Amino acid sequence: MSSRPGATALSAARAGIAAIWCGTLMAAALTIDHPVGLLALLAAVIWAGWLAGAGQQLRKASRFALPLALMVVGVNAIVSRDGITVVARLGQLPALGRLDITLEGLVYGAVLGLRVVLVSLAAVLFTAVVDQDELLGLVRRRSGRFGLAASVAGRLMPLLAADGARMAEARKSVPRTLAVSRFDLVSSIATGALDRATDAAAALELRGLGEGPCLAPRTYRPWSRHDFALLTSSIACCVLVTGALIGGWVDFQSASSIRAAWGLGLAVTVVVLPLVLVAPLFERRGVGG
Amino acid sequence: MTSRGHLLGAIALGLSATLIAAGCGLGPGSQTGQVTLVVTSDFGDRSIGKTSAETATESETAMRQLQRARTVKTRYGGRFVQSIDGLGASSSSGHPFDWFFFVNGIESTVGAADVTLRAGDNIWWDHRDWSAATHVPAVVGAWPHPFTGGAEGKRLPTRLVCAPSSGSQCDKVEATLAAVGIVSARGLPGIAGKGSGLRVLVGTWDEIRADPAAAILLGGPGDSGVYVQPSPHAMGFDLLNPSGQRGATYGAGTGLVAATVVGDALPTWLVTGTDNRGLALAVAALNLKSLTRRFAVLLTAGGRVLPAPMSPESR
Repeated sequence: MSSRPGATALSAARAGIAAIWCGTLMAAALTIDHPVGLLALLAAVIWAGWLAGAGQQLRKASRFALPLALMVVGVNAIVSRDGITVVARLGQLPALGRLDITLEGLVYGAVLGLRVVLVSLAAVLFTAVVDQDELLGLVRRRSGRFGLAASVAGRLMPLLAADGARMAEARKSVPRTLAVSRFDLVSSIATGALDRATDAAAALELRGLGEGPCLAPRTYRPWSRHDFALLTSSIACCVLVTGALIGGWVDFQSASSIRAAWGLGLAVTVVVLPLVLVAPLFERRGVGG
Repeated sequence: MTSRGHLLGAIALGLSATLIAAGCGLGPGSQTGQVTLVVTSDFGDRSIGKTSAETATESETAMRQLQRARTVKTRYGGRFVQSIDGLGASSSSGHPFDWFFFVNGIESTVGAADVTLRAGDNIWWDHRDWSAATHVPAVVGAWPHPFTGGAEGKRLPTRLVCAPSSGSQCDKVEATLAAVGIVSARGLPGIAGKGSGLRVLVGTWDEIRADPAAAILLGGPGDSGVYVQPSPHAMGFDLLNPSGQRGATYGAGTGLVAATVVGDALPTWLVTGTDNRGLALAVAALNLKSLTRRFAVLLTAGGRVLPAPMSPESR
């Protein structure tokens, strides 16, 4: 999970702009409630990931995000008392009291689960295609220590992933009778995370990252077509989502009963939103790799 | 089939039987009977929408019944009501208002999502000022509940507690209860233990005042949930306003029908009067017309039925 500079418009653009684009995607995922709207955003993330050559990372992330989403659906169905359409009666349970599974609870859980998947995949896309070093350089100009903390956080995941890959490789060479379980492997990586974070922090300190704000003069970098395109895409996405929310095109509620907006407004939103988001990624001029 | 197959089959069968016995199943379950929903504000003074009656299913809860009939916003994962038809918890002139509900005239101690409805239940939601009384444990406005509907689907035993000199009035109360299908046992004032069932205390105030359920009225609505207090200065009852302040005093010939709870006992209904004339008025008021949607009622010598707490019309 490390960035691939030069592979797509997202990585060719300045990191701040690419981060704004990814942030817009996540903000839209957190703002829209309509499941069709969320599915449109999911399509946009997958499409963008595929165009950016991050399909492999998204596939890997979905192995974690999908079970998490299913867990969210299950927990919400059990915890939520909202909804009038009972689909299953589970009787009285000691700690939970009367437990009925309602359609509304399941649907709301599904919306939350979809949102979890979307935000996870958008975050993975961000990690995969945005140049983290350039972004951290921007942060460092404001606060050295914050930059260091962000650097550690940003580098820890790839570091742990590499550790895990190495340990999994080593596991293959151990005879079957002595082999450690997958759980032991995960446990070892998880418990070693703090040590690895300290290692990463120490290495970054040695490079002077914690010495306060960077005083090096800024180098002027002209705005590229990708910067303009991604910024325009982000603004257009914000305008479209805001308009859809104000216009009630993506209204959805599933508290007591399921009520959703269906109409031309929703159709326009779900068609235009992915196109607006993905359009800048079709521009390949000036993109390396 | 192998022995392992037999074992799995037996486990599946046992599990299914356990789930069915525990009340599990698919869908809302079978229909149980009619349930009534009443939504009011200001201690039943103002009706919000029409009283509705619908056929409930096994899985029907007070919350689902309300959500089906009204526009409801909930809180705490759908366990408690935030607002009904746009009217929610609020504060007016320093007085807090919120929604409370009664199941067959008994205030619910659990959230509406945890109240399972049974055939014949009466659910009454009221949006009220709770500055004087956080809890109003029982009301008379669901008459003939709780005598007919009971609590949690069980009809409760009713004991008629008669003061020594209230013989004829007690007979009338007994007949009134019998008319709605309640067979009551008779007892003496002063016993209000847990699990003794519903009590109806009949007698003039002087005769019943020593009973714990009557004596609790002296503590005001904060203790009893009844917005009527025996007047400290003269023979009579003080009718209180929603803030718990004295609104007016009614003297000789005044009757009172109220319900309260002592400790964790079941509700006690007070059918009393300042004197025999007042007691007779109270006994005569045991009907739908006088009691429906009232927390308690005061019957004046002039024949008026005044809701307690004091409504704007009676001020």
